[in-house]
Amino acid sequence: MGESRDIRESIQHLAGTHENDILILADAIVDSVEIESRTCTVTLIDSSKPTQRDDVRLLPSIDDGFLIIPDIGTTITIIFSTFTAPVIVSYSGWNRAMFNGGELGGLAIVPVLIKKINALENMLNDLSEKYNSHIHPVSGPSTGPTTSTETMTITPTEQSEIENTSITHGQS
Amino acid sequence: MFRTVSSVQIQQVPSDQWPNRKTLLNFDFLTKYEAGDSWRDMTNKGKLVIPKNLYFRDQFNRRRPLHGTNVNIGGFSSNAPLVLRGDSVVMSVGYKYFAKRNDQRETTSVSKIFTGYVSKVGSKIPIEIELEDNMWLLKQTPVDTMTFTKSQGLNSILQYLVGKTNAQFGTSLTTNALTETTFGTFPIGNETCAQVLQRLQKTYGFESYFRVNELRCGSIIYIPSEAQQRTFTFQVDIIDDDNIEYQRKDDITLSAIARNTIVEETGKFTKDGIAKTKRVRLEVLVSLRGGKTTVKQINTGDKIAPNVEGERRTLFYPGATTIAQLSQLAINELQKYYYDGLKGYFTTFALPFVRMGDDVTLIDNIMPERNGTYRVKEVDYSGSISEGFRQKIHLDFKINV
Repeated sequence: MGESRDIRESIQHLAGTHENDILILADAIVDSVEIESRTCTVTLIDSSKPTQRDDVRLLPSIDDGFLIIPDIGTTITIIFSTFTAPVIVSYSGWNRAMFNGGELGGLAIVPVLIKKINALENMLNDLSEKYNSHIHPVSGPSTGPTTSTETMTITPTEQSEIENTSITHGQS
Repeated sequence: MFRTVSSVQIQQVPSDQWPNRKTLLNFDFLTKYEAGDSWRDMTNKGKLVIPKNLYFRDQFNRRRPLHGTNVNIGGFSSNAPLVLRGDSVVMSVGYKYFAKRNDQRETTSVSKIFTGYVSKVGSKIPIEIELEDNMWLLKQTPVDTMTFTKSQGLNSILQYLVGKTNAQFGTSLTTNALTETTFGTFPIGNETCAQVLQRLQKTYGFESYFRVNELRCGSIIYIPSEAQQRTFTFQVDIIDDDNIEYQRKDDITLSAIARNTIVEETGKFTKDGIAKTKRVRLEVLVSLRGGKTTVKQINTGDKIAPNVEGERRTLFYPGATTIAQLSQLAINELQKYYYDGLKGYFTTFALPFVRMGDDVTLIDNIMPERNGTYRVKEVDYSGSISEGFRQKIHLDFKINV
């Protein structure tokens, strides 16, 4: 009676499928994110009945790396196999991303940075123009201060003004 | 003289269509029967053949014809069918004999060779009925979609599966986790209870089987304390030994690739203060040859020596966290099959009755080198009116190496 297992395994050996791993690609909805364990809980939506998994990895192991934290309720695509815990391969929406821990802060918000640089450039140009065309009134052996004074001022920039805190980066 | 006795009890199970189908049928002989007792295929199967043209007695000892308009076999008329898929079956076989020379009364020794359910009713004559053990119930029971957490071990999974089955069928199945371990996160869903057990077998090599109403599962299969000691003698009560081979250690080459993947802490911390981890593949090649055991750790990129002769197994030990543990587990497994002795199967009569997991001592008075005690991995029972009762006993490994 027990020969059926031997026959089954022999056929698998002949077909080259014995102990083959099976990869599954599936769409899922993010239910919650556990940053400390670098995992999230998702509900698979491809299967005939919604299946929840709480071991979907954001990174292959707990590390800094390129950590993308998905938005709750968004669709992701995960891949897993018989022997490998699932890992996210594609995001529809994400909340935060960190390169190498993110201790250097967020990436620059270019329009804000341009605005700041433009202000600086405008002031410098104005200053240059006024410098080149300025006249000092003369009274006696020495000259007086220029009549074309610079009235613009520059406010020192805070990091928070120009950084996008949803994408932070750090040094490896 | 030994006279074969066989009987089968079929308990009809009511259905929506036939709510009064509750008769207990007793047949006190069978034309032909087969049954298996093994852990190899998860489900033990059986088959029984009964003639159509006969009478049976129900539980009130009433004689009722099996044929004609009163009862039909397959359910192709308005009458309730005699046997339906899902009916429970107990098959018993044994002998009647005079135990001592001057005995006036025969001793009856009967053993239950199969307890299970009808999985298929044939349409031919004589009537062939296919049977499966309690695993048949688990094949009919879907699981809920859920995930077992890292702290919930094998026993939790088994208890859930059996609880679900008991609730569906009103049975009282029990569990026995032969290996207590956890699998990390273990999700289930969109499958039957039996398919979950199948996954445990495929992924972790955990075998599942029923011993009557107890579901057992684990990497260790046998319970040595319940093994019965049975003795058989060549040229006396062994009918057929053609399929038994003598093997010498010198002729055996056994190897196994044992592996596991573990999560290790690196000793460093992420910038938000969490211990960093890495996944490590532990893999060893263990070989037994010429009386020597060799262990070779396989690192990423290493080429594994080809298996040029002998048997090679792939073993997966989810509990092993070091190379040393992995090696020892693999050596223990291989050494069971590395002995001077017999392998294969032999055929014998019904007495002494043997079950999977028992130990059989084989004695050969002509060739004493064939003497030894072996663990039984499978017993195939068969019998018929013309051939009597036979046990085909498959040896797993030698106990007294």
